[in-house]
Amino acid sequence: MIEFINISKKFKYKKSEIKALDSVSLKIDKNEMVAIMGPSGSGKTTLLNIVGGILKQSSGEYLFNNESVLGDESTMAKFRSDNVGFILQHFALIKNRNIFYNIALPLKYKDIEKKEIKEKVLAVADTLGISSKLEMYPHMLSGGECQRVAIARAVISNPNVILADEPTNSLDNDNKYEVLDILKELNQKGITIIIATHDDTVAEICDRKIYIKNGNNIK
Amino acid sequence: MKYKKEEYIYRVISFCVLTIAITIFMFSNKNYNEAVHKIIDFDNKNVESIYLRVSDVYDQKNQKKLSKFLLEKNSLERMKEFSQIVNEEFDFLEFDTQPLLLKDKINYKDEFREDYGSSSFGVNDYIGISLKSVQIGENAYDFFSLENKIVNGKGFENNHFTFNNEIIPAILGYEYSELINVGDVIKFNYLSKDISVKISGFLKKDTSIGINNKIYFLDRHIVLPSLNVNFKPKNEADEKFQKILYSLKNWGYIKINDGEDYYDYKNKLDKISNELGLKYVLNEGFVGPYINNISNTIHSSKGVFLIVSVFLFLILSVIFTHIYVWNFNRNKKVYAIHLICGCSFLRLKLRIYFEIFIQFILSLALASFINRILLGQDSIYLSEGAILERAISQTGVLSTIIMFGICLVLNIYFNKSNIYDSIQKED
Repeated sequence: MIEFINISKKFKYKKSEIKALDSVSLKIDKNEMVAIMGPSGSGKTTLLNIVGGILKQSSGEYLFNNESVLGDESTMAKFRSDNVGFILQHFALIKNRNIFYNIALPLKYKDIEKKEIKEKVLAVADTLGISSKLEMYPHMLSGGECQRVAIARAVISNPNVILADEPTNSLDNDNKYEVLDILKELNQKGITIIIATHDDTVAEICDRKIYIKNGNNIK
Repeated sequence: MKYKKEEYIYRVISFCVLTIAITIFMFSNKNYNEAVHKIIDFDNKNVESIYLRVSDVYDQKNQKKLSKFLLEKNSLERMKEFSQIVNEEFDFLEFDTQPLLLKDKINYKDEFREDYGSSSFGVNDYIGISLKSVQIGENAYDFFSLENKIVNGKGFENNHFTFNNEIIPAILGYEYSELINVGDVIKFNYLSKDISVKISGFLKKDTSIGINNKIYFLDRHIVLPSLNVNFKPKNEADEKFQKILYSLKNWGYIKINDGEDYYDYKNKLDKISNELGLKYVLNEGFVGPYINNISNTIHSSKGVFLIVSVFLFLILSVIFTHIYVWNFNRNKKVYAIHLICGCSFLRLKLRIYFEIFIQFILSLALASFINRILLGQDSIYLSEGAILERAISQTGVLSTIIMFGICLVLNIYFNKSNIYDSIQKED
């Protein structure tokens, strides 16, 4: 499903160049749950961003369902909208909008009627146990609830893959395992899940671990 | 709520900054255009000369009433004689601005109306529509070279300045050319007399007459010859018309060349007037250092004000751009969330540029309003509307260029910003 062939990514920093990824090759199959592991600065987030179509690789080829992922900003936006759901460490919720708006946001960029949006939001909120929070604002929710909202937003457009960047870092143990259970459940429903983490307990629930160090995948 | 409040505050601040910039530039531009016209009219034509207004003092304090004078025996003949003498003895320019009461159905713009822009606009529609008009004597017609400014049709001929109870020829300002044709005949009431006016031609766009520190833009005016009447009145109405006509005709301008003594002219005119038992005087009210120094002053300062205003506009535009950069950075996280949810960066940027476009449009409209209403009309310029409109269009062009410049700068800045950083931890 996802294939990286000698992907490299360079960033310009002042007058020098920093290589965040250096000829990374990997393959992730459909329905896999994979942990990307490595120390800070190893290139995990950069890798996730390329998978999610946020960043473009400097060189190499990225195949998604055997098709090259490359195009202008609009093409990449459509790729993200059609295929990818993001879950981030700090939830990335819009503070001055209510939970309903936050969950429904990905549907705003698809041609979907308001009525259908409402039905979908209610359904996913119900599944994740946050249907009573829809009129509330993010600051009124606990960390665990915020991450459920982020998960709801990630799954509402039925993505093929969910990219979770340190999804449990901001959570206590109870909430951490709850979130991991939800991710496992989503994986069992057929969604490919890639988690960037340095937490072994998170990696343990995954089918496979990919280690990255200094921009290279070593295992 | 705090976030929403900040959203409004930033918009209000950026709008105010932009409006101030555009208002100042428009105001400066208007002044610049006035200065340019002054140079054209005073400097290029005859800056060495000044023009003194001949007027009567009837109805002034301790003076005879004009109505009483007009009832006197031979008052018309004396006024006619005065007219003849001043035209012979002086370089006398007959020029007056008497509106014409429309007695026909023609196409016209509101801007052609005498009361346009005043608080009484539209109030006297039931009485009639008065259109702006100037009456110009043969001397003045030649002096201002109006013959050379005819763009369509013909100008006045020598015999057009003599009234013979027939159709009066007229030259129309440029803006009339899209509504009326050469050869059309229009009925008016002019100084209590119903007259028919035949259109003989149209003036070039932006034709203006500058005299005695006043500028008359003629694009929206009807130009009539200042008529001489060589026959005796046939009835009371005719006599009334001729009397009013001559009382206005004698209000002209005497050209005095540099170095000539004003008092020589004044004494001479007083003598002519007294001998005829009239109350005409040479007015020195408008004469001052302003006229004499106008060329030098405008030459040295015309550009400075405009350059300063352009510079100010640019500085305020930089501040405006900074406000948008600040707001972009403040909203980076929200934008990044929209992006991961499937929005394209281009769409986000277009939304910001559209907001800037709307701000420019609204600022331009408000600046026009401020310049038109609050900064008001300069009383010495009868046709200031035309200057303002030109200033608005010039400001519009500069605003558009600056708007594109701002969008270009912002685009470069946006493209260099890594907005995803705001929602992702350091890896």
